[in-house]
Amino acid sequence: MSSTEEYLEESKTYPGHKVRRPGSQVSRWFAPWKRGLGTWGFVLNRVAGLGLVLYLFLHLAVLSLLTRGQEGWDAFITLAKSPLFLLLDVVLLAGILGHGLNGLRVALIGTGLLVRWHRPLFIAVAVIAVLGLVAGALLFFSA
Amino acid sequence: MSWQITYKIKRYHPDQGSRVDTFQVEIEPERTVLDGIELIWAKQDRTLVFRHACHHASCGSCGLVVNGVEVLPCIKLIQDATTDGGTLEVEPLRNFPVVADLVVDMAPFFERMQLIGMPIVGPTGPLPGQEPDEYTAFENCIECGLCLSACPVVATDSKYLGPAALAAAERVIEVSEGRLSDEVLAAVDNEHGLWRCHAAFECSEVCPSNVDPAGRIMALRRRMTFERLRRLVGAKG
Repeated sequence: MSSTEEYLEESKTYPGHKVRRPGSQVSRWFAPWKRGLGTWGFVLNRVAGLGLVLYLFLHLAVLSLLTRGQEGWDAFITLAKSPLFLLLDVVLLAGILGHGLNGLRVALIGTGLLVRWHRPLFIAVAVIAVLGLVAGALLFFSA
Repeated sequence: MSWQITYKIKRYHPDQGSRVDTFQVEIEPERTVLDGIELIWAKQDRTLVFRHACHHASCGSCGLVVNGVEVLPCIKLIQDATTDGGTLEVEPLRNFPVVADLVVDMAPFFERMQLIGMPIVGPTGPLPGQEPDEYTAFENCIECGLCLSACPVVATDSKYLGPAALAAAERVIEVSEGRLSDEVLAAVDNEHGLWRCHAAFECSEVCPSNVDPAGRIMALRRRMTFERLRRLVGAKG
């Protein structure tokens, strides 16, 4: 069930009658359950997009460590080589691959070029993303 | 053999607010979700408000959300919606004002269609040069509103023109060899028009008439993109 900020208002169609109006339902941007592959792609792009925006700010915060000199930066580099941090790198890679490849898919169907192929394209995007993610994870942890 | 089904129906009355009522129904699995609702109305609660007419997916008046997905309950079989002993969560369509219980005010749908001129376009069937399998008939739209309810973009942008009206606009252009009135063009080519669609394809997933609104929106977008490029090149030349 969707969570909505419902409110009552006077009906324009039925004067004198109060109707229950649905409010903005942002929660539906993150609810792919029981929905088609298209919605999974829609949700993927939103989740990954928000994650990448968050990463951008984290990245800027990390870069600001440079202002503390070599000592502060070296401490961060030590942290960055820890397994937990490498796992976060894998999550970042998942976001980049998911958002980037799915973005290409949306561009191809959104301009009317491969509309009928939107489901196979989503599966292709998922397969390529998973392969890229596995390769990237192996690279991160073996380097 | 009958199945025992639990119907959880979202109710609304202006004086009583919203609640969910639970009903136990004994019904054959080959019957429809609407049959079950009618049984509840006939034998358990005469105050239940719902809308229906034809019982065969041609009037488009009974659309509901059943277990989280938009359906026409008149053609949704019990056995396709749940299992013996299962539950059916029944809600009114989303993105519409609820008048009472399962009945919504369809005005937001028809207001959008009016912007496009409420087209009943023809000719039906593929146009010259169009392969039959490329053809999806907007003429088959039964104006049930499932597409508007399923669209996640309408859920956050109440001004978005929505799938049915945009599909109608594309069909109008298609049968008039690319021509579109300035009024319709203004309604379609803006931030709340065809560019707002985010390709979730949920409208096409739930459409009971295979109108494929999402495909039509993409076709309209391709048409407008080429038109803009043509104008751009023309302006430079």
